[in-house]
Amino acid sequence: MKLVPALTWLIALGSTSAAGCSSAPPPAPAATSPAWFEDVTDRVGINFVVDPGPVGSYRMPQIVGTGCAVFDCDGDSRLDLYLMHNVAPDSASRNRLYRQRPDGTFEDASAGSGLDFAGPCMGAAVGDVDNDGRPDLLVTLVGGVRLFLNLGGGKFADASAEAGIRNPGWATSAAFLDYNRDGRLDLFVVNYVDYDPSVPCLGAGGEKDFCSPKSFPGTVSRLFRNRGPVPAAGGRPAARVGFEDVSVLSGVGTLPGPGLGVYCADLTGDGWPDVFVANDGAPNRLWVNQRDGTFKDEAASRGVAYTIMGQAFAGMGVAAGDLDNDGLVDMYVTHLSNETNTLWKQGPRGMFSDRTAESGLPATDWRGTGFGTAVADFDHDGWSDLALVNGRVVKANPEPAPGLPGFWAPYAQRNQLLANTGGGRFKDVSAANPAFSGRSNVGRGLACGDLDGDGAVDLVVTATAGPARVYRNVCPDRGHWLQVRVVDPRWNRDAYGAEVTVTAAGQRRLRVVTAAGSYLCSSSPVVHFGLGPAAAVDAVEVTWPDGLAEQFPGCPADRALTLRRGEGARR
Amino acid sequence: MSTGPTESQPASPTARPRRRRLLLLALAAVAVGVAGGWWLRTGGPAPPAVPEGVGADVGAAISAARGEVVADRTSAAAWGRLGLVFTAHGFDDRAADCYREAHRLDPTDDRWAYMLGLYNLHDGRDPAAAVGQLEAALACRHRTTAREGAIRLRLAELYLAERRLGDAERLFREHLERDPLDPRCRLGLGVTLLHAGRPAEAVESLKGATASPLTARQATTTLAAAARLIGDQDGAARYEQQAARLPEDLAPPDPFAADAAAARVDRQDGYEQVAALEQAGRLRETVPLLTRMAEDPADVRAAVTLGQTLSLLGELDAAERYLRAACARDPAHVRAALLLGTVLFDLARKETADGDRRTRLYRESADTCRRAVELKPDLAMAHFCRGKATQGLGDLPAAIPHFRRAVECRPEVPQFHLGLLQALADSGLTEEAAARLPAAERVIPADHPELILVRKRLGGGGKPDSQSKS
Repeated sequence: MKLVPALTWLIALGSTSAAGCSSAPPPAPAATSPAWFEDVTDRVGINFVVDPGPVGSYRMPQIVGTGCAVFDCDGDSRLDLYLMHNVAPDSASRNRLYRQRPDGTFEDASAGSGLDFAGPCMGAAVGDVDNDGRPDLLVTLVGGVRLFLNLGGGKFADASAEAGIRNPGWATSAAFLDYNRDGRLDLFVVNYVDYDPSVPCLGAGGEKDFCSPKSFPGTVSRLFRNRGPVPAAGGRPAARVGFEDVSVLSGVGTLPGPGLGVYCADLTGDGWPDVFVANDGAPNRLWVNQRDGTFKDEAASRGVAYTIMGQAFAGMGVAAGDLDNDGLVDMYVTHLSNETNTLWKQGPRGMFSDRTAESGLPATDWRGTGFGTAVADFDHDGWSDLALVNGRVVKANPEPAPGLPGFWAPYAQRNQLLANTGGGRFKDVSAANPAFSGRSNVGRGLACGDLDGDGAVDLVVTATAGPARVYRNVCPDRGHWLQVRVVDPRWNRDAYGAEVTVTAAGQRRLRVVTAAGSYLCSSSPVVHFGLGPAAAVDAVEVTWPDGLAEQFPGCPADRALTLRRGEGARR
Repeated sequence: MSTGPTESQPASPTARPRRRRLLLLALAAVAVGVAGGWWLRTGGPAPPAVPEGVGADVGAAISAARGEVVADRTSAAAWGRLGLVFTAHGFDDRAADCYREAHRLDPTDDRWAYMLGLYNLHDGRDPAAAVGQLEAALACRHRTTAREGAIRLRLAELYLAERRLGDAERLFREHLERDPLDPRCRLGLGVTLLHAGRPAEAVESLKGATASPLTARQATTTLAAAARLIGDQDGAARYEQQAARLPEDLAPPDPFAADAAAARVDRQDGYEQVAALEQAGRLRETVPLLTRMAEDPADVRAAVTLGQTLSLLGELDAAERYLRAACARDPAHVRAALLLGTVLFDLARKETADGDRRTRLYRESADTCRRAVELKPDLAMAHFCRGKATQGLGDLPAAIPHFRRAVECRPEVPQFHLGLLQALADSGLTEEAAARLPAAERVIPADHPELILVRKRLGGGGKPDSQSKS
């Protein structure tokens, strides 16, 4: 289904040409403005190189990569990091939990945390599944998922078996959401392809390379309904939390696809959370909540299944946010470097259209195969910017990638930062950000959160066979800001799915509370607003996941608020 | 009597050198002309070299086309021809150099500007440059109306991609004046109108594109979006369901790209030939090809593909032979083990005369599928096959866990649900069967006779409920 048939034909015809035709990577343009980020990885004490396992076998999960989680694991209001490897279960490379100290450095708290296991790990999702006020952690793997209940103090217990979550496929991104609005966080797991490791694949030049998703059938996503605590019955012990697999009954388990990215929010305006799944080389899915426990895929009729030209690109990461401050969430999905990352803007509510061309997004200094991506107002000018991490999936002429093992060099690319110049138009500021964008990596995961508590959004990047890196936001002359944590005291946790709208100097700005998005990652659920020159906020409105709308009074800018359901004025 | 020189008289001593000079000047002018002509034909930019490492056929084709350029570098046709040969074999950058020179030499030929435009569109190299090149191509003389139409539609689609909606609409409408039924154009105009916020007009245009295999799926998908924008939610759902059932749209023919295709000389490798034959439904013809390939003991893939093909053709004994060989050559080959397991199961089912052999085949089938599951624990078909083989051995209780696992691994496959429901019902586990029935009904067509039968056995009657898949 393409409006550019001969081009497609030429792509197919020229399938042996990639190696021969690859041009050298473009030189980095000179910096034109101050950098937004500095690499503080070493300074804060993170020393973690993602182990993708032994090379040479071209095991496909290696190229899909590994993500991370940025969350407050111990309730001290400082963000901690969970970093993962993609290895055999008996490997010595075990995942690590880094807890943040009061001075902003991190300590390796893996030993005894319950999270220091090895496995073919892919992604992470964070949510308080037992409503005890402590965020729990789900890890997706090739061949399963593992749920870890947070016991407090940085200790976790593997509750996968008692919770009854069985996901035999290749799980990638995952998200917690309360799809039935019963107050308990349910779990959505995206699965990729029915991978067969005995199928060899060749790259463009006839050399062995990683398989493309087209080599295998796609698989279905899974939805697990949170049943809460389950008493002992019929010889089965009690469970602190139990989940029921409702994938098929809900509809999401009936349509397969090669899923990689996920985002959850009310995308249709009916007050119920929907789920967007980015598929790799197949039409995306928009699972619209039917408010009766079922979902229908309405991606095609709502405009997010295909690009404007009817193409199903290789969807990887998802960044969602209101890019033009019109009160509606837009979707940005990363794709292959020979495609275009696509921006679907929402409007009217519940309908999306591909506005990539007019956003200025294609006019970047270089192109990459995008994976993790995030929307945030990095410079606090009042407009949300974009960050994305890149890395190829097939070999090409290597870019200089110091420190990267030779096997991975042909897959390395540079990351990018795109500044919103207002109204949802972007310009590439990568050149001005050598710390974030000047070094090639096989970038995969990108998570964000205010790690140092200075009010600005920092970034964490994971890269296959490379070090996980922490980038501190050092953007000078930043505008004013506000951070809002929204908590529903009935459930004792962050109100995933709540919509927060801040009005400052006559401008309304919307954010949605979620930890999911990007690619294989979980980010801080605290919503962040850049306010530009506005030194005060006129009002904060919260639409809670159950539909209740409350207004909270304004306040001076440059502070972090915690808003609780029931404490605002009903609207 | 005249004293001046006449024609018959010998030249004076002063006139002779002047004439010689004139003669020399004339000779020099001729020489310069010849040299200039020679330089024009053989000088100028050198054609791109033959890439290293290409096969003999491709190298010869490129050399021949290159030789024509070397012989006459003023020939746009020779440059263009060399470009097509490069394009045909995937050397896009070299091809672009050739098209650029061909277009410089003959800017009136639409082919070279068009191919340059395609080059810049490919991989999104430079869409802005592509717009200029396609506009130049459209302004050229055209050999056929088909070529003119191809350029116009391609340019209109590019305008659409760039969201130059007014320009796109103008070109699509121009094209429709010449060919009012062109489905590609109706689709393009429909998409343009939808993005221009005119969904009702879009519907009219899109309806003219729903019957063509070139455009049916995208037209139906776009109709779904138009219906939703108009407020016709039922129509949106209906079109969305229709679109999901349609195959991918075929690529419309492109006369320019066909020129490049015609220049291809490298032979498809064996698997490409097999794939082409399979796509054309000529499965039987793949057998001799695969048989030859499978003679190479290192080519396990050929043996596995051949085994699968033979089993599809019903030649189970031959399939078994090749699949056994594949398993022996590569015991870790998941697909070989799975296929062998299923072929052994089919052989067992067909064996009606020899009970011992039947049992042996079922047992070996179950064992082979177990091996496949060990290699890939989420291989649903292997679990299912193992369950069926175990059932064939008469041990239904032992088969049920395998059916459960198949459903767990691939819950969207109706066959696995049916197998499990039937096994549960046969075993008297009606409570579990009834509990699983609603999920099965989400993926099995409501009028499936075996589902109706299971429903009756579970006391639910034969009527589908409202959530059943229709």
